[in-house]
Amino acid sequence: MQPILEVEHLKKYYPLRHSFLSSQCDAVRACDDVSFKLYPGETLGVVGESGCGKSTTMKAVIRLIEPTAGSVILQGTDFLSLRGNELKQARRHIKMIFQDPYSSLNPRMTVKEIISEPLDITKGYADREEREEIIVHTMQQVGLDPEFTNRYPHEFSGGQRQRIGIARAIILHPEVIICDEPVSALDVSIQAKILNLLKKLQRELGIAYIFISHNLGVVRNIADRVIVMYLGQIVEEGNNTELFQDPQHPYTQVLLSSVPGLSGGGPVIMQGDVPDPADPPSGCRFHTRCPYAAPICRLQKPELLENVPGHRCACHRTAEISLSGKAETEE
Amino acid sequence: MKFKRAQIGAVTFEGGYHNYYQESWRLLKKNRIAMFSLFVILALFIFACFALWIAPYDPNKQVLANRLMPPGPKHWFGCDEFGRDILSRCIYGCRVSLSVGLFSQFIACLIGYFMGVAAGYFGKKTDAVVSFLIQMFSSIPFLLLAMALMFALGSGLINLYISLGLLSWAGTARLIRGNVLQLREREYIQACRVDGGSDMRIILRHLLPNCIPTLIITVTLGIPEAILAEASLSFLGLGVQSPTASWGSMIAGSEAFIRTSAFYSLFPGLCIIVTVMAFNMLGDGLRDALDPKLRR
Amino acid sequence: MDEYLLEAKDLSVTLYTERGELRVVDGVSFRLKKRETLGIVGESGCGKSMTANSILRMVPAPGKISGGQIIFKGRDLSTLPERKLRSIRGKEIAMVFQEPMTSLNPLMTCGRQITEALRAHEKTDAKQAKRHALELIRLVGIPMAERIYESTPSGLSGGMRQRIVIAMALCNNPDVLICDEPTTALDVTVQAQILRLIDELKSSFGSAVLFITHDMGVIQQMTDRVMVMYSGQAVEYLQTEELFRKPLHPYTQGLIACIPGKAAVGHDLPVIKGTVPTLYALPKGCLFAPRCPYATKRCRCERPGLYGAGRHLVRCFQYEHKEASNSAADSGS
Repeated sequence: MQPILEVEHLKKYYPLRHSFLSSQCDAVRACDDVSFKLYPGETLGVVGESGCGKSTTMKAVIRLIEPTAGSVILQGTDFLSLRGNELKQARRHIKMIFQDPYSSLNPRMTVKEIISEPLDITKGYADREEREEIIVHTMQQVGLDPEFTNRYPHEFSGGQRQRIGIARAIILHPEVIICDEPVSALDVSIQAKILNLLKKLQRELGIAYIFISHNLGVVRNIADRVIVMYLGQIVEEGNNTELFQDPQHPYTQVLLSSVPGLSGGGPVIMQGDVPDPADPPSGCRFHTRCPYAAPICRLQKPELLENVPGHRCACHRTAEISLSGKAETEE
Repeated sequence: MKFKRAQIGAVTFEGGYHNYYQESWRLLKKNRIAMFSLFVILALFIFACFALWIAPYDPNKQVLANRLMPPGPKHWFGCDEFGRDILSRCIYGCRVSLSVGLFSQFIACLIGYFMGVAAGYFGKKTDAVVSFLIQMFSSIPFLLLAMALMFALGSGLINLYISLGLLSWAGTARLIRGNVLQLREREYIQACRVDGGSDMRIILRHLLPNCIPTLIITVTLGIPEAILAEASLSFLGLGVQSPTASWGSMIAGSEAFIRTSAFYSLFPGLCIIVTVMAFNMLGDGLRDALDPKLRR
Repeated sequence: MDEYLLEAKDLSVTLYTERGELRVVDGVSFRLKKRETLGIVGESGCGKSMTANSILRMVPAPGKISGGQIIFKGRDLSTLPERKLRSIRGKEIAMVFQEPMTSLNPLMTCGRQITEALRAHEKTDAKQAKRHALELIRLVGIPMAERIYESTPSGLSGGMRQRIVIAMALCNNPDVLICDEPTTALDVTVQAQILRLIDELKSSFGSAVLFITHDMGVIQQMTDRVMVMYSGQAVEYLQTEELFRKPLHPYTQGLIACIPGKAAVGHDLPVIKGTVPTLYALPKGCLFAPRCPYATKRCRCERPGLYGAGRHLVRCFQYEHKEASNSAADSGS
């Protein structure tokens, strides 16, 4: 199957000037050489700690921020080279759902104005009647009563607001939707409803999701494949079951064990915090916190290799350490 | 960081208000001082609009027999050195003051909004240039610049609007810039960008409606300043041309008689005080009603 | 040793808003023993944070404790004079909040803040206080304690800040530690560190912990007993292992079922239909009745009391005449 979205060697550096006079420019490598493919109708989960660059990467993909280097191929066309009207038209195919249902809706606009905005921008309707029809239909699709078209966002609860955000994203029937922590701000019972809605829309419309979340339970439930990111890089990629049951990378393992109630055993406690992304560790970026770090990890950057078909992992010692039963720390 | 929901905020209100402005109006109605000020301002507007019918005498008609006549049953506020009725002149002066306040603030608002948006939204070099202009305009002494402008443009009502407008945009621009800097990072602005919305769309459809409360407040609080500036300039002879009545020029004219006929300067002075206070108090009330931070 | 350290009896908190009085906490009772961790779980707006805040009478503005008692070491905290309460706050009962920055002064060094918390309750000289503070910073697992002692919280990461807050909370060896969503704003790996820390400190200091969270996973890991809250009421009291094995209240059952990590991969999650009622228009009968799959006519007009035996109490008519533990089997479906 042809991927619908292909991201290659995507980079986003934020320049960081040390002092006013020094010419030397360092950069925060928020997204450093990220490549992945997204296939039609699938859900790709993206997990990692805050500051790992998962949001930055996806915002660069959708050109909310301009990437420093790399390429994004959307439906066979180079999305990054598009300008002006071409870009506007191409944006129909890729949309985004935001995290905060409170700040993602303009408080001075009615629900109808919010939902119809993408439609108005692309003039995606023949006449007023069709426009009304599309709006009503979309509202029904996401489970909103079309009677509420003239209400303002503050009259809705968090879950309903998120439905409005989803309606806005699907109104032009995009092929790809980037969901940036869409349920993180919601209560569990509402979270479940929104997740079910996203799945229903995927079945009906064949949308492919990129699902960013720090909640591994949610990703476990919704994703087909999962990418794990650490300090701006992908450390592991695999399909849902494999990655959750047999993680190859030590970081993935630590991450999974940290979620209370998800794994059987107790958590592997990792020392320290995420290193400063402006000054990442040499070699493997995880070596400072890795329980299995060997000398080579400090010196050489591991490649993201496909050891098992469909499962990529960036670790020097994958072969040596059996991760499912965490043992054999040769120190 | 990720979860910031005020505990009380989680309580949802049902069957409440619909519109932000309806709710603001509801809050404003509760504020008695603001409502009283609003009433005073409306009365002033009526005086200004219908001066022709309300004023008991022609404000420019000189009756030399009535020179410096103290307040009495025929002339409630007395008469000036040319025997003109002070009450009528105050009522006509109201026109000058209110129009100066309104038009100059309208100009200031327009310049201020677009300058502020340009600085806040586009950032980088535009921001540097606009911020420099803002600083420049706010560091030159107000009266000095006003005098220079009035000398350059020549006195007259329209020139007065323009020069006072040019003088007070900087404050508005600074507030709008700050406002836009905050709004720019909101997710709904990002959502509009993802949909391919143009900068103009974002500025007019998303930023403007969210800046209107700020604009309302700055205009309301800017009007009294403009009225005072007009009075100062008229006092200095740079404002409206005589014989047009303006509160400032009336006070200027009364200067020589302040010892003998205090009422002459008292009444236009009172007019200025009442008007300025009404606008200031209404502005405070509006700020309380419109400020989202004070909302639940 | 069946002595209760902290006991809330029929505690109620009311918000006096311009739109009417809101009962945000409605007759909640619980008891806390030494070395015990009680979890309070529920969705936002259920009153769990209000309950926590009311223990030290720190209910925010339009709210007030409108009934009930909070017995701590034989004294009723709800009527204690403010001056005496202040000596309990931070000394005998300490609190840790969700957002560490709300309890830290961004401009004051961490060391200074800890020593001030220390010296607010105990008269010690500056040197001794500093030594104690450094000890505490090391205790909460921060390396390079001296450097952190001198730095301000604004330069620290979220996890570090939360550790400082915990160090401050622990500096006077409190008998009760109230944790209000202490790890919600943190990453899972940091959360694991903080949870481990709270657990270790609990066993070494012998404090009782009141743990408020919406995360069932955290509840499972941290608590001994759980109180489930819904719309201001406690709907179920039970042992933590029972919460996951056989919850009795339909709401608790729904809550457990919709945790995404537990459900089958890719399948739809079971959901609780409807939404939480607003406090302005609470249902006449059982607060959960409009959403409950088992609701009967009676549920819709009458408020159920707490039923059951021993330590497993349920606010549901289903268990009115049965002993809670026996009826578990026929309610599970």
